[in-house]
This record gives sequence, structure tokens and C-alpha cells, in this order.
Amino acid sequence: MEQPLHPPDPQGLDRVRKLCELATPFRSDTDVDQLFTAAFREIIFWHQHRNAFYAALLEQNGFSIASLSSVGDIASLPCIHADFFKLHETLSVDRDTITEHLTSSGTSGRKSQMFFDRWSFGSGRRMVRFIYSRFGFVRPDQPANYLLLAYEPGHGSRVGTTNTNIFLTSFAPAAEIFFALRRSGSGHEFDRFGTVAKLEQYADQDLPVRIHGFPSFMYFTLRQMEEMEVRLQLHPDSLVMFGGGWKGYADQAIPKAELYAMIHDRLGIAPDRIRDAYGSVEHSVPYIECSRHHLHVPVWSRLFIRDVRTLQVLGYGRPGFMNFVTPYITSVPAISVMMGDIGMLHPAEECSCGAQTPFFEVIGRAGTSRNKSCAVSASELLKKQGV
Amino acid sequence: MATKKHLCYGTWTDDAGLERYLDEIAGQSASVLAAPFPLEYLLEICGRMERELSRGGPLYDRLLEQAAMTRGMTVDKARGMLATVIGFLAPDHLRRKLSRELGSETPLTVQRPDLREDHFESWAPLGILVHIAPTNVFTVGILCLIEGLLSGNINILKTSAGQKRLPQIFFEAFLSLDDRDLLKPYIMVVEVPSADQRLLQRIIDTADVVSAWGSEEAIAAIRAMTPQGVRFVAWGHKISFAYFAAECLQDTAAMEKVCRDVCLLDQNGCSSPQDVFVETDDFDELKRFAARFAEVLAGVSAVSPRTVPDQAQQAEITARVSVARTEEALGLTRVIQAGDFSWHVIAERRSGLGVSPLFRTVLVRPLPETDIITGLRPMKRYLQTAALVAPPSRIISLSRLLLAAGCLRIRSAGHMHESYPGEPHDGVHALPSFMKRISLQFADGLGSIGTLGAFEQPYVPDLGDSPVMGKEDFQAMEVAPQDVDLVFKSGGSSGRSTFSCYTYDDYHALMDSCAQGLFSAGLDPRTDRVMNMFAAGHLYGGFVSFFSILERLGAPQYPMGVDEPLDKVGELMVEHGINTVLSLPSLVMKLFAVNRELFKSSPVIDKVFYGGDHFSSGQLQYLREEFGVRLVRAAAYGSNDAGPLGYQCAHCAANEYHLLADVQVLEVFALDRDHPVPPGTTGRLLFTSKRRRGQRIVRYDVGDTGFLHAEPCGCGRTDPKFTLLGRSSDVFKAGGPFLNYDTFCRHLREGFGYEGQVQIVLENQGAGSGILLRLEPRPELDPGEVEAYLLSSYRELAISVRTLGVGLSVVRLPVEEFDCVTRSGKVLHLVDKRRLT
Repeated sequence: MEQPLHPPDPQGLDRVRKLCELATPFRSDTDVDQLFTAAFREIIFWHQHRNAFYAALLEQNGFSIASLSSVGDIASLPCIHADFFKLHETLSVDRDTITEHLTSSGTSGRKSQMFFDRWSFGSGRRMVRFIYSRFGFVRPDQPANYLLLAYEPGHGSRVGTTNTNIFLTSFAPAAEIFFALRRSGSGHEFDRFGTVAKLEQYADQDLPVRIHGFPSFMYFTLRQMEEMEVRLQLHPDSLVMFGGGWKGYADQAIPKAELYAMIHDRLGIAPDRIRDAYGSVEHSVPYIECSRHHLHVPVWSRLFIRDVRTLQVLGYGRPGFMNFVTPYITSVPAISVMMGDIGMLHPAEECSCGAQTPFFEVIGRAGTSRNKSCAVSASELLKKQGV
Repeated sequence: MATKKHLCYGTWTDDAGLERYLDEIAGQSASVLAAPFPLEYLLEICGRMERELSRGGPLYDRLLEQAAMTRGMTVDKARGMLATVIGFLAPDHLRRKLSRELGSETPLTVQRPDLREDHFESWAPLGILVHIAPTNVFTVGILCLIEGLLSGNINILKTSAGQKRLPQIFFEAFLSLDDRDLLKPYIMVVEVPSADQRLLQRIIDTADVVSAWGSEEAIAAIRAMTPQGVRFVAWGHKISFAYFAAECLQDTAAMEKVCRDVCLLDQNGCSSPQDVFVETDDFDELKRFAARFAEVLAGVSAVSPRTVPDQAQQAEITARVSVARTEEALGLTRVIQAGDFSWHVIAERRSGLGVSPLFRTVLVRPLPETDIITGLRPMKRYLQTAALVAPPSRIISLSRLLLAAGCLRIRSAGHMHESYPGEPHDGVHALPSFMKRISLQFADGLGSIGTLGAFEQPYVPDLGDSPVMGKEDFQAMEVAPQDVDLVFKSGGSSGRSTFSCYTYDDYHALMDSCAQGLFSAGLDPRTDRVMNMFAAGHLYGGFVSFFSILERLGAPQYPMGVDEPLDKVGELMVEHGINTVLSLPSLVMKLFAVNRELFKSSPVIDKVFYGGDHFSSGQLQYLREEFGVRLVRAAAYGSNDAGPLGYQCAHCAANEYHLLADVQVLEVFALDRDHPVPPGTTGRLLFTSKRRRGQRIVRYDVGDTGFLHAEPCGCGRTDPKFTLLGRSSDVFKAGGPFLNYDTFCRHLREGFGYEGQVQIVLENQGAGSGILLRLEPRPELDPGEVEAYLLSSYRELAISVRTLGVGLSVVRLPVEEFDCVTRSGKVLHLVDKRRLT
């Protein structure tokens, strides 16, 4: 981020640039809404004229930019299910402008791949910085020891979560970085003893510890500590930031509150410094819990909850598909993405943290219901096909 | 109080109780497994349960009510599922299943697989069988447990709360029929949530075999919990599809049938079509097909009751359709959907097996003939049923390709869900998966023991107060046409013809049993060459039965019958080294008489097995001494009506038999009242056939007298042993005390050494009766002397004649002029002509 960020078409995407430069993540007013809508007109035009598939999709759905005059109108833009990006590559920029090619860590078993140009990638990271800054987590003055509950990078690693976790070490200078998922042979292995030993070592130093990564491995680490009867008091400025979910360990998942209590008990970290995050490579806007553990929708995106049958937009308090919209991605037409997750939207007023934007809760993944018939269902088999 | 949600050995118990049962299961199972599994009893209880449920009483209603409470269930579906269970329980179905899957209806009986070989084999249970049943289809758990019982295992069925304790209620009722408490130790139905890993692990740790149903994920989790060396049987999820050959793309009738297969279980069955493959490589043609198919589906779906997907399932459908809709912009797909989202047809350019999100979501994909194997084989482990829609000329070749690609079942459209008894499930039979094959061989070969079943207590059904059945009852019985595969005629000696009807299954079981009996009697198929000289044709059972029996024994046989000139028969026997004869005593005697010189110079006959009548001791002596016959035993003891009943072992005297206890039950009732008598006491022999489906033989009085032995036979067999004394119809009254044909014979033997044929004719003589005694013309017999001797030595006869004025006369007559049954050559003991005149 040493060079200033510009969208690939500075004139045509000027409102997009302006929106992304808003450093107040949880601001909400009509100016922001107008800017958001204008940015959306720009980005739709951008993809429509640079991506034949996207143009065809708009035409097939009879969508016209002219119809877009408010944030609510964006709901009529055809949304694309995240799975689509797992199946198809569809670029709106020249391939040689792609700087990042990320794959998801495979929540559904299928590796998702996404392509980012410098603008898209850099903007996403800047959003994280803005949010971290808002929460007071940017501490260039205070070095920290890092425990990354993530895959140790190997040659040519493209796993998004690891990338993100390494990136997160930039907000407080790293005294030391330890990866809990060590490279071993062709894969990775969770080093439970090494992880506990490292935490014990960190506890003896007068530095905050920052733990990032999968909650599942946090849980396994805590269980290991329980077994070894280890209880630590980490530096009060320590921080836990989760991301990526329980992955293949969903059957062992425990409620969030229980996990946070365990962390507080074993590591002495205050609950308001334990945060979960939500995100995906298909929709790279970061969602990080506020101090009240709510995932607020930041200024750069909006969330429509859609009925799981009719796809009609639902209001607050009703569960449905989460359809995130954001106008910042130029490399692929991932500007209105329907996630595989079911969620519910709550008005900002339901949270006392001070954010002006609504927040959402993730209720569960769609289609991961254990198939109870004797027919193979898609959710079961997609995991095997590796497409 | 903790909920009693587990049914352990017939008793409801809570979690703590279950833990206690698990604590003790090792010791408990050891004693249960030490005894042979009561398979016949199981079939009987299943039959009773079937009848109980078929009549639709309170039990049926209760099960139906519980079933209707399970998720996604309608009353109609629940009825259908219960009907499946009821059909499954039918003993005939279970026998067929045993026979198809294990090759025998008595798979647990240790016996020689071939009576010419020295080793013994059988199927045996593995021990404790833990079933991890699928969570929503309650019937599967019930059927699995029945399969587990059929295989002789102790069963622990793991169910979940979603099944509303239906399996528990079912087996509680089932075990309430188990009045002998024989099945209770084999059944535990437990409700354990899959999340309770500790308890689940405890249960799995007891297992000798684990049978797991479910998704790959669920199965993998159970597999990981299963200790090394414990057999693991997985019943994974499957995908089925329909294939439309190029000639049939307009066949809307077939489409309608496929749509019915789609709608029947809303694609939730493993046999439900998820894909419809179309033999084309033209996407436009595929889209046209999809449009037609969608039109048909709309019609069928509208009239088929539907299970509404839950939110997660609906989300999966919507997500899939959403992706497909987006792909339309890439020219890859064409989505057609119901206005109310109740069905979807997605035509896709991509080939290969697609996986549908179910609930009437049909994927239409191209699959040219040449791509069938390459396109489908990578997914072969998931393939199950293919509905083939093709012109008759291509059915075979396309089937071959589909099978080669990995399909397990090929069906006509509209019949994808149907199954037949004994059908393999997902390419295998369940029963062998739960069992092992054991063998036994001893250096001395165990002589004439063919089956170890004869050494284990036979199963005796409870006959309750069933009445004694006589000849007239037998004759009056109506036999359903489907139970008539084979018909024999009884001799007709009692006047009107009587027919014995068998199903082939029953006939085979009886012949198997007889073959074992004949083996016990000393027929050795490795060394003996056998001539079958029983009567054939005219609906007689003798010849064909022994043909079947010899075939089962694997003995070389010469099916001669009774007609040939006996001198030619003798020559043939010498020429071919035929050392064993199966025939009637009278014919055997004739054979030896005709070939006296030949057999003296070439003593070829070593063994004689007789039927239909008996040899006298003099005849036996004659055969042994004159011709060197080593062994004379009954080929069987049987009755035309009741079928084969007994056999002889080396320890049996001439009139002693073991019961063919695997197929028959014997009771001895008093001569003069319908009440059992203790062993050693003479009475009427009543037989109950365990293998007469159509013509039910229950407490049938075959007309013989005898007594059961209290002491076990010296051979060690536990098949009941009895002494046969004679026909109860040989007991007669001629106006005074009971007289007995056998007593006449005994006095003739004692007084005159007479061993020939004896026939008593009862005639009207004035106002009373007359006894006419027919004897063969022997010079040593003077009728007057015989008469005088009998009157002096046979007290009851003397009373009848002297006191009551019954007439007595003795005549000498060639046997040919006796009253006798024409073809079988059997001499009637007693001819009562009193009513006929």
C-alpha cells in the first residue's frame, strides 16, 4: 500500500474510489447511500462492458442501469451465487492485471478461486485497516507475539485465510509468528503440543499475544491445555481474531459464548478482545465483530436477506440467504453475491456499540443439512467431486 | 425420572439401565451365543407378527400413529412403509431370503455341503451386530434388525429421537409374542443421539460387526469409531437415473413413468431418479426434451402428494437453481421451474452424473451411448438404479453398457422403486455380510453323520389345543392353487383317492431331510450304486421322491421302477455293480427269488433299503445268509398323506426310527382318547409337518401305533426316537374285544414259523361278523390247525369266537389273489367288507 490506490478506470469509477476511501466503517446516512448507489451504477457499467457473460446475464434478466436510483434498487440486480465462482472463471480485466489469485480454504470441500487486480485486492485490505483502526487494534507502537491458527505457508500457497492472517500481523509489529498448522510432507498437521508450548512461552514475555485463525483449532488448543492443566494469563492487550469457521470440524463446534468463556478462563483474555470475523473470497468485504460481538455491515457494502424459496428480499429479523452487494471489485463481477449461508439482519439500534449500520448473524450454511434420505444429495457429493 | 427410551431384551430402560446392560453384555452374549440360534422359532414369531399387523388392530394403529409423527411423513406413506414391514415378515418371504442369500433355508445347520465329502460347513453369526440405522426411515432399522436376527446375531439397533421410538414399540410388540423368551436376548433397541460419542463408542466397542447407514460423512465417522478387526458393513447413499435412448425422446408415456418415480419419494430414495440422461449431443435437442419433460412433470407433480423440503433443503435447491440460472448466461443450462417452485428441470450441457438437491429437481443431461461408460464410471460407487427407456432391440446392449458403467439395477421406467424378495441391496446381500462361514472336519469323518442338526434339540412349535386330524379332515382340506406344485396320490386303499400337495420349496426341504435320513441309515454315496425300484407314475410319490433323495445324496442311481422283468433287472445289477436296492419288501423278495442263482454266484447286493412295508425277521435272515446282504434298513418311514416322517440310524432296530425332526413334529396320543401319553407308553402317532404350506398337517393321525423312547439313542442324535408297532387300523373289533392284526402275525410266527403275507378280511356273517384269515399256500400250514392254535393261544380271539359267536375261517391263497393295491404291490393287512355288502 506504499503506492496510492486507483481504480483501473479512474474517471469511470470515481465514485467507487470515493466510497472505498470512506474511513468511517460504520457510518450511515443519505450521502453515503447516494454515493453507494452512484458507485454501483459505475461498477455495473464497468462489468457490463468488459465481460460478455455479465452483459448476457443483465440482458437475460432485463436489467438496466437506468433503473437504479436507490440502494434498495440494487436488489433487482441479478445476484450471483458464490458457487458460480467455484465453477467458472469470469474476468472483467485482462488476465495480466491480476495480482492475486486466491482459493478459499474449502468450507464446502470445493476450492473456490477468485482473481483480484491491484485495486480490488488493495481496497479490501484497506477496509480491514479502517475497521481495525476504528476498533483500536492498529498498534505500530506495541509489538506482539502472533499465534496463527492457520496453514503454514508453503511454496505457492494460495489459501486466502492464511494470506489474510499474515496480513493481519501488519497491524502490530510481529515479535514472533507461530503457525499452528505446520507443514508436514504433502499436507498440514495441527501441532497441538507445540501450540500450547508456544503460548506458555508467550505468557512469560511482557508482550500482547495476537491469535488469528480458525476457531476449531483454538478449541483444540484449549482442550489440550485443559488436559495438561495449563492455565495462562496473557498480556491484557492480547487479541483473538477468528475467521474461517470450524471447517471440517463442524460436528465438534461449540457455541461461541462457550468458546469465548473458555478462552477467558484459560488465557485470561477479556471477552471484548475476542472477535469473530466473517468473509469469503467471493465477497471480499471484511466483517468483524464489534465489542458486543455483532457483525455490522460496513459502509462499503449492503446486505439483502432473501427468502430461501422465492429469493424475495426480506426485512429485518427473518432468516434467508445472505446477498451481499459491494461496488468495489473490478476484476470479476462479484458485486452482488449470494452466499451459501443463511443469515438474519438486525437494525443498528439493536446493538449498543455505537455503529450506525445494521448487523447480521449467520444462522447456518445452506445445503449442509445432513442428508437423511438414502439418496446421495448434492451437499454430500460436491465434497467428493473436487470441482 | 430418566426416560425409559431403550428396549433391552424386551424391557424398557433408561440411560443408566442401558449402561448396566452394556457392562454385562460380554458375559450375557457369551451364554446366548453358545446355544444354536432358534431360527425356526424366529420365523414363527415373524409369522405371528405379520398376522397381528395384517389384521390392522391396535398395534397397527399405534405404529401408524407414531410413524405419522416422524418428519416428512404422511399417513399414506406411513401405511406404505408399514406394508413393506408386514410383507417382509412373512415367513415365506424370510425363507426365500435365507435361501437366496445364504443358499439354504437352514443356513445355521452344520452339515456336509456334499454328502460325498467329509467336511461340514454352515453359516454362523458373527456375534454382536450393531446397526447404525438411518435417522428418518424408521422401517429400515426394523428390517435391519430382522435381518440381524435371521443371521443369528445379537442385535443392538441404534435409533435416534426422530424415529419416535417406533422401532422400540415394534420390537416390544414383537417380543411380547416371544412366549419362550428365546429371542429377547438377541434384541436391544437403543436411542442414542449421534452426538453422544462416548455412549456410541461404548456400544460400538461391543460389536463384532457394525452395519452403518447414512451419508459418507456419517459412515466415515462410524468407521473411525469401529475397532480394527471388527467387520464394517456400509450402506451408503446412492444415485439413480433414467436413460432415454435417441429413439424415445418423444416418449411422453415413459416420461410420465419416470416422473412418477421422481415424485413417489420426492427423490429421497436411493432408487429415485436424480438425472435424466438423453442420448444426444445436441444441446438444442436436449433443451426441447427438457421442455417436454417439464410439461409432463408439471402434470404428474400436481397430482402426487409432496413432502415439502425444510429450510435447509429448500435453500440447497434454490442455490442450485440460482447457479444454473446464472449459467444460462454462459449458454450452459436451461432452467424450467414450477411457478410455485415445487419442481425444477435443469437442462445442462455438461455430461456425467449430476447430483440433484432432490425434491423434484431433475437434471437433464446429454449422454451419447459411446460416453455411457466413460461418463458414469468415475461415479460408479454411487450408482444404483437406471430406468432404461429404449426400443426393445437396444435394451440388452444398453443394459450391458450401464452395468459396465457401474449401475447395480436396471428397471423399466415407473418401476425404479420396486424390489423382489431376495434381491441384492446395493450390489450385495445383507445376510452374508453379517455372518461367517465355518467348517468342521475330523480325521474319522464322523461316519454316517450328515448333519449336526440331528444332535441339537429340534424346534417344536406349540400346537396348543389343535384337534387331532384324521383322514377325513385331510381329505376335506382345500388347498390354494398357488400352494400346489406337486401332487401325489395316496394309495386309495381306504376307498376314495386322496391327494397330497406340496410346494416345491416344501418338497425340497422334505427331500433334503430324507437324504440326511438315508445317509444316517447307511447309504454311502461314495461307494454305493443304487437301483430305485419304487413304483412310478400314476401320481405315486415313491419313485420320484427317492430319485430326488438320491440326487441330493449324490449317489449314482438307476431309476428302474417296478415293471421290468426281474431277471433282466438282476443281470443289469450284476453287470453294473449295483450294490444297493431301494424297494418294497415284497418286490425285493421277488427280485432275489427270480435271480436266486445269479445272486448266489455273484453276490452283488450289499444293502437293501425298503419302504412301504416291513421285512419279517425270517426274510432278513434269508437275505443275509443266502445272499450276503449286509445291511437292511428302512429307506424312510412315511405316510402318503403326511410325507416322510422318520429315518433309521445304525442303532435302530427294525421297527425303530428317529423323527425327521427338522421337518416333522411327533406326539403320541392315547389309543382311546385325545391326550398325550408319556414315553414308553403305546399310543397313536400324530405328526405335525413343519413344511406343508398348503396342506397343513397338524396332529395328523397317520394310523400307526407306537411309543416314544425316553432314553436317548445310542447314536447320540437328539431327533426323537420311536418304536413303530403297527397300523392302528390293524386294531379292530369284530363284535368283542380289540383284536390286532399284529397279534395274529405273532402267533402264526410263534406257532408255525410262518413269515409270509397275512390278510384279514372282515365279512358280515349272519347278524354278526366273520373273520377270514388269508395266508400264503405253505405246506406246513393246515387251516384247521391254525384255527385251533389261534383259539387256544389268542385269548381275545377265543372270547370273540367262543363266547360272542364271531366266525373264524382260515384259507390259503396265492398272494396275487389277496386284496391289494394294484401298482405299489402293498398287501393290505385288513379288509373290512362289512359295510360294503
